[in-house]
Amino acid sequence: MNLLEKGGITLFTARKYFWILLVLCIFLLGLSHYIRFYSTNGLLLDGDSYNSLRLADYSNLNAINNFDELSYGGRVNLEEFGWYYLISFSPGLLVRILPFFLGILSFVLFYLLVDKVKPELKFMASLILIVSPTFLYFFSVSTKYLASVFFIILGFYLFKTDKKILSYLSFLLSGFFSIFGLFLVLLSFLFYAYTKKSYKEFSLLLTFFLISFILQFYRLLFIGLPPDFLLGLREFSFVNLISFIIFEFGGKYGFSLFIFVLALIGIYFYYNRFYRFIFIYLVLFFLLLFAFYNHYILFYLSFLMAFFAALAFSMLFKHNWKSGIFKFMTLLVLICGILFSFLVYYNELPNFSPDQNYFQAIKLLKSHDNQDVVFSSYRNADFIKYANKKTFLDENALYVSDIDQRINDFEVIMNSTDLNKTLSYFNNYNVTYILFDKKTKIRYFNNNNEKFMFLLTYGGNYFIPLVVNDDVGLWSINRSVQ
Amino acid sequence: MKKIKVEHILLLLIFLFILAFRMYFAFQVEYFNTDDAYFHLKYIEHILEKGTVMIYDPLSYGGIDVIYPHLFHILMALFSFGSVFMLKLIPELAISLTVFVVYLVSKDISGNSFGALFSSLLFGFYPLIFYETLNNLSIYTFILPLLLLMVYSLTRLDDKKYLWFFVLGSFLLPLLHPSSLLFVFMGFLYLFLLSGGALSSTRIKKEAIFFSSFLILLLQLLIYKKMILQHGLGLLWNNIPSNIFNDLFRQFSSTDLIFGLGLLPLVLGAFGVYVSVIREKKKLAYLLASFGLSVLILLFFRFLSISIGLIFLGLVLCVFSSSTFTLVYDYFSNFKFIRLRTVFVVVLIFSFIFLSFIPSYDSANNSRQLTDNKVKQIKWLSINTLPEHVILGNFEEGNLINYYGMRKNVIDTNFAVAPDPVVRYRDIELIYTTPSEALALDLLRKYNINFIYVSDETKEFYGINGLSYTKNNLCFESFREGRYYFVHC
Repeated sequence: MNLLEKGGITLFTARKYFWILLVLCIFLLGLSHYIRFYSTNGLLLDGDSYNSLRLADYSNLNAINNFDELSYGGRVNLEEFGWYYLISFSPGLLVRILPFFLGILSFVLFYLLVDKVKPELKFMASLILIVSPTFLYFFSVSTKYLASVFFIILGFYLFKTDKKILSYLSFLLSGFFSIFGLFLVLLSFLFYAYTKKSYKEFSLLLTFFLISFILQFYRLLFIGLPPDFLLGLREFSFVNLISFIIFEFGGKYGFSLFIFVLALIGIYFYYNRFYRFIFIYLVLFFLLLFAFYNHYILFYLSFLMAFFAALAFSMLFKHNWKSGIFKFMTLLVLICGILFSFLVYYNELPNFSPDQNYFQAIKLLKSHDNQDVVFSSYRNADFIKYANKKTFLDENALYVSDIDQRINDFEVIMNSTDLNKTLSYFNNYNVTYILFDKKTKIRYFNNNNEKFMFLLTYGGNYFIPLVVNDDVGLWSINRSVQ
Repeated sequence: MKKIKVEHILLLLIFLFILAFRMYFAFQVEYFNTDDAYFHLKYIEHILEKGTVMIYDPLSYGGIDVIYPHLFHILMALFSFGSVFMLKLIPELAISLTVFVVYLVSKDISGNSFGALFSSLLFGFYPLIFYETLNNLSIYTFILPLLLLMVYSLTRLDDKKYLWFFVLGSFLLPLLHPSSLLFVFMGFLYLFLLSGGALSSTRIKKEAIFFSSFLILLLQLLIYKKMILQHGLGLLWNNIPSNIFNDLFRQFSSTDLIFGLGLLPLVLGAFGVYVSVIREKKKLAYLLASFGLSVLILLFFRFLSISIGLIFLGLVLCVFSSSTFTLVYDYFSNFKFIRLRTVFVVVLIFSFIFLSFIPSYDSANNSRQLTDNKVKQIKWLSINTLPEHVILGNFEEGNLINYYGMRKNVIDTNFAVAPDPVVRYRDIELIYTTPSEALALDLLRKYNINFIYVSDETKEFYGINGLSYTKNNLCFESFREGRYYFVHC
């Protein structure tokens, strides 16, 4: 009777905590959407959301897995189509609400999954997850990776509950949203198979992976692999990498510094035998390196980070400390550190790209009824394409034959003070508009009227300013005076 | 009654001598030696007048948010009550008191009181510290003793007194200055070195390192949140314009090491590291060696400026000198001719006089002194310009323009929070050096500059005789034979 009562109380407590966490998750995610919506007059978060909105439009669905006529003025576009078809039913509504609901569902599944793997961590891991800026940011952006993550966690949960067929189906579905996500699952199954010395599950999943891949990318057989494989256009340095992966250092997709440090400690504890943690650290390092060019990897990792951070926190809590003062203070500082990044996230939310000043230029660009080329940094590509204009540079450079030439010409133009030479470049690429965001102005012109900005400012009638403010500059090229 | 030991009397004498020596130089002039001192003085006086810390500086860079830990200013305001005498005395007292901490740590490492006394003396007359901290409101006069005491406490955490001091220090250090991050780096490097297996760290020490590291990181993030989000890790270089950056944070060379540290601390300290760390394997020595190694690594990767890095490094080497002293002293003690020991001490004292004391005296004599004339020139601005006027001076005069001129500057040494400091620095260089009136006027308008101050230091810094575009130009009215120019256009 006592045991039953005890079990009942535990069950009730666990359920109570789950409901508290669920309400908290709804509140925090809701707050993120609410703050963004009301502080920016309804602007979506990040270029990915606008890319989803564009591609989900019925007339643009053809661009997926076919030919995107706006990227680099036209290039082969191979992409998973699941997300865009899913939101195409009502793009305007679904880009806003689907991230929110997928966030809630992913949280619930994560909670249930941790309950199966390490029940004692379910509360802490789920709590760390929902206060982490990475989770809050990604589930406020409309991107295909949301559905991929949801199906992957669902797959793992079903696998853990011995519903293997359903689990494989879930993994297969995830492949229609991100083939890379499914590839990561495949790798983890390979690791699992190697330790269990049984390759049955792995082979089955490999089959599903191939099915998903062939169904979506069969066109590769006809068009072949891309001639050049460029990781990305972002400038690499270790300082940039650290600033990118840590939220407090300015990386908007990044992990909270304290969650990251705790996760490293957690990995150390979990894989302490035979120095396996060194291998995990190496894998993590390469994934973070890769994430520098493909930021969504951080999103997948955020769930693992939450788990390992919770593990470390729990270990530190249970650890037999020599000094009670240090125990209390260290744990308090860690909690404050995690809460700090969480509060900074909400504080910075209205300032994340795009902001109202910037979007003024995009709206104006969209109102021009043409599909002309916009000379701009790769960072603005999603917004330019949303405005139905062609990009000069884009983040995804696959199947662009003249990418090296374009990058080189971009640098030449940005540093140019020769008007005639610059105009000849623009004529060569049929550029009609020039768009600079604040980051570009600081990076290339020190936020000053130097180099090409000097030409734009003092270039007479050659460049017509359309929108020029602190955050953005949009000019059109006056062909009539050339 | 407990008998007072000779070495304690000697230590007290060393302290008094150093304090008197420093005070002699500090109180010879009415002003502080550097422009940086006025950066702090501005904030201290604000606390004294308004009772709150300054969060917006209306004069620096024409008006900027103040993002700086204010503990130093609060402490100085509390203890000085605004008296210039006290403001001069407190930093001199703090740095002179450091000899007691150096003595404590050195004695622990070498086990010899006279060796420790020698280290204290060596530290007290370390030329670079004289140059940087003499007659200056320098934050390092507080940072150095606190850092060293925290390192010392870390080895004595079983004693509640030291444990609470360590906890308190962990809070104070990040609230004083970002160089507290050096302690975090040292802690992890120490644990890494111990993982080699030569020694094992106690559990409480590990706990203390984790606690202080997390706390320091959190407090730094809280203080510099806005700047870190804006500049990312680039903040570690304080947003400094490239030419100043190249000068302050240039590649660390062996010449810097020899001339910056001085021969005596370098030779005796380096050998002391070998003795204490490799041969005797002392825990405190490992901690201090980690500290020195952290400084070297940070210097190598240009996270620390050469002068500040050498101050920290000098402190470590001075402490380690006691080990060398003890080793040689004990070695000669075993000789049949015991007088050799005395000879050694005499040689060392002479070496100290020639290699430390005289350079320190020289350094104190030649330290950057703010002259009466310079202050008068800047005070002229407060009388002859309007309160809303913006004054252009070189970046090392910005704080003086704020403090004595009571006017807005265009640039000063607080680059970290400055708007576009790189562009500003270059623009200012152009204003002083360009022959083009059009360009100069364009830039003067950009920063709403009303007055240009052309000091002798500015002329020397930019290699100019004056502003060439102002000759026979109605846009510029010259005052005091080209010392100031009023911009009319």
